[in-house]
Amino acid sequence: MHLPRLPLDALQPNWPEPAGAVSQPPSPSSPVTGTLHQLPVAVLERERVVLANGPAVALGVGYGMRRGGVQALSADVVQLERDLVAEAALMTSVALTLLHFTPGVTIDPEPESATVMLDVTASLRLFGGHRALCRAVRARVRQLGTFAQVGSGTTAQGAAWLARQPVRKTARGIVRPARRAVQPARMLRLLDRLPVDCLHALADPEWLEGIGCRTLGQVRALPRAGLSRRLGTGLLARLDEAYDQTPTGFVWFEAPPTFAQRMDLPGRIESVDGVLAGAQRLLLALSGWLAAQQAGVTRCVLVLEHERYRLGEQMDTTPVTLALAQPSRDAAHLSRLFREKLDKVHFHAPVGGLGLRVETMETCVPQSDALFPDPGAEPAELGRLIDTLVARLGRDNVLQPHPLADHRPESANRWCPVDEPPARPSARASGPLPPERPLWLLESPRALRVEKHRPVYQGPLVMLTRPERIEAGWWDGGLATRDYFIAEREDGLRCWVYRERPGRPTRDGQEDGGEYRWFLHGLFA
Amino acid sequence: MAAPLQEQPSLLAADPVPPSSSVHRQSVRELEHRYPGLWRAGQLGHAGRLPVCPTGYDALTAELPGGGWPAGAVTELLLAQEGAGELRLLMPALRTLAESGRRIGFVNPPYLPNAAGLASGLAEGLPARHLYWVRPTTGATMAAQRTDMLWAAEQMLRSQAFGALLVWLAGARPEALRRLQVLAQAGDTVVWVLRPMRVLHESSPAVLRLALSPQPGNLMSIVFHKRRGPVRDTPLLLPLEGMAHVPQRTGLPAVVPAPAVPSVVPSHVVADDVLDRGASAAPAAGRAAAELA
Repeated sequence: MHLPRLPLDALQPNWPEPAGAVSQPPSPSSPVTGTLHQLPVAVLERERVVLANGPAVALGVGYGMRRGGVQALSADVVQLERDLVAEAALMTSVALTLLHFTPGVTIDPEPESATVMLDVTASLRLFGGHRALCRAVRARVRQLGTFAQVGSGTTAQGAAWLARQPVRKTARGIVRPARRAVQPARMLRLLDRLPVDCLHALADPEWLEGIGCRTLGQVRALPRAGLSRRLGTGLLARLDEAYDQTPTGFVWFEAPPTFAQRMDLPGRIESVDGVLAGAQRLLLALSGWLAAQQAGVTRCVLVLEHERYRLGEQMDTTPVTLALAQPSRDAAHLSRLFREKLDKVHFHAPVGGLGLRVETMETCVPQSDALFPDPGAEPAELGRLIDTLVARLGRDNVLQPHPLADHRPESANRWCPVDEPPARPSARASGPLPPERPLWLLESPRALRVEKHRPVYQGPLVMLTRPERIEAGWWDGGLATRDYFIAEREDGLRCWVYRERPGRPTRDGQEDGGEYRWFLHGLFA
Repeated sequence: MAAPLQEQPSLLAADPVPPSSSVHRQSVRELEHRYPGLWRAGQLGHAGRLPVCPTGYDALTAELPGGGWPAGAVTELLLAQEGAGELRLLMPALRTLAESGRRIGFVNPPYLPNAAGLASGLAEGLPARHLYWVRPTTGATMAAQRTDMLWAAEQMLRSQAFGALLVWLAGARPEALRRLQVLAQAGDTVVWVLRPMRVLHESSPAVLRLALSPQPGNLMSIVFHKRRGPVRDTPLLLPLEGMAHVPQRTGLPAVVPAPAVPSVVPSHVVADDVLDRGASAAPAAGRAAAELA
């Protein structure tokens, strides 16, 4: 997989990537993008152009042109300085992201190659075959805000050369070269047809053309002894690797043991959408990293780095913490949760950079597909829902009952956040019917007036049962001495009322004067 | 094939006159037999065509189209009074759903749901691991809370992870209910939206709309405001389950059955032919005349 526009994409990520830009890499002239891709852009390194985009090429900007020359052609060309650090970060992001597909990922060590190689032998079946896998790889890389050319072949070196083949402009239009081979015979044919330009790191292509070799097949036809004497053994060794005649050793890309990445945003962003678009690259990298770790994240922090207002002032940051009930490595799900979180964040200053780090994670094996899926009862679906609800409403507002064995109803009625481990099911009281309990409880008991020795709750209440005496809580200061009754109002509303027995000091320390005090505590809804 | 089709014109022709002849009845019965999807507005919706959840109350089942609470649709319960017994009315249905492993969500209840009360039903309570309570954040404004709760209900419906959803929406607009109804149609969740009686005059997209009010003596009066079936003007008086500790006949004056409430009309003898829409369906002649003038 080759990134032909790496120097440009590292500086100006292209989100949201329009679909139209895929087929025509040299001229991504889409009206939707609205970024610098419509403008002529040239990336310069040491006063020389290393890459220019389509509009700039149309103006006559070419590889190796000087800054002054570009300026003379048109004043509209945006000139950007090449940033090798950003390029390396983007390559790392890409490699991390692609760990989603296979653990065998390696970055081509050749300088300026901008190529990532994947060993997908074991992944073909899982991702639905060769074509589907190529599509998935390309889609994922596109979400990172960059553009990729995908080539495939039976050897890594050969596939890398195929991927790097640029599209050619001919009289008949743009021709995309064949970049994919699955069968060794086709691979051989494609490699033999490759121009010698792809050997530029090992030999001078012009020298090779000078001795009459325009394609790799012609180079291979030369006598090996003479070739190695003139050009060194490196070229032949590389050719043998590409043609699968000697095995290749790779230094596999190794995921760092902890995940903490940061990136600069291309502009000063104050909207949730902008931040999320930027965070997409981090989340995709996170998703690939988690796949390599066979884990799912349970807690991660997205740090928004704000622009400084004044020089000398410390760059302040806003951390956005995300805690999940179930470990997840789905970038789309994490992105949705961050949206809910970010909706609540007040941007007091524009955001200039983003950082993402994982605090805790758990092993999480992807669910195997069931032969007969159970409709609506998938635990993963519930976990995702719970995470979404908790992200917006807060952990304390999505609850499950954890009843406590206590005689006082307000203590027994305990609800806990869903992510707490379920309590052991309490042994049900075997025997006669358990005492009747209402389905609604009032937040705090409501004092009732008494008329003609009867409590009144918007109407006089008639007791239907004998008292149920509850006297508990002397051990924790919440002493309750109550007689509970089921009462009915005239219109049929059934209430749960209690009278506090007299003869004990009330909470404010005064004697209650020996009177029964009535309270409404629940409703038999 | 030809015979019933020939009879159709005769049925249409006989329409303006109240049909009474046995020939006509015979032809209608034949039509029904031939087209099981045929539904006449004078009948309750058939069982078997609508996915329903059993109510647990025989008298109520007989009155509901399909013979139960509609699944994959919104049922609107209008409460004269919070705590009128609405949960005890739904309890058998909730228990059935929980037994089959479905989850039950309470969204924005007006009081604290009592875990002990929910766990200790008459026969077997609702298992705690299937119950979820979603409430709004405390600091937020009323409007924000309302939006949050609607959003939560929508998410829960969309996930299809819940078998039953009880949503308390006091001030929701009809559009919000319509959204819920559309979302509910995608799944098989039984959705009850509980609202105060004062929204009765608003239009509602719910397929079933009942008004509940308590009656002395552990009864509940249910008025059918909207259902796929004939109009029923008299409320249904339903004895609720539970309250086993309350003596049935205590001799107290409060437990006297409500006076002047008509007795339950069995719906099977619903008029076969006459569709009485009552006063509400009367043509507004006066208004039309005023508009013409």
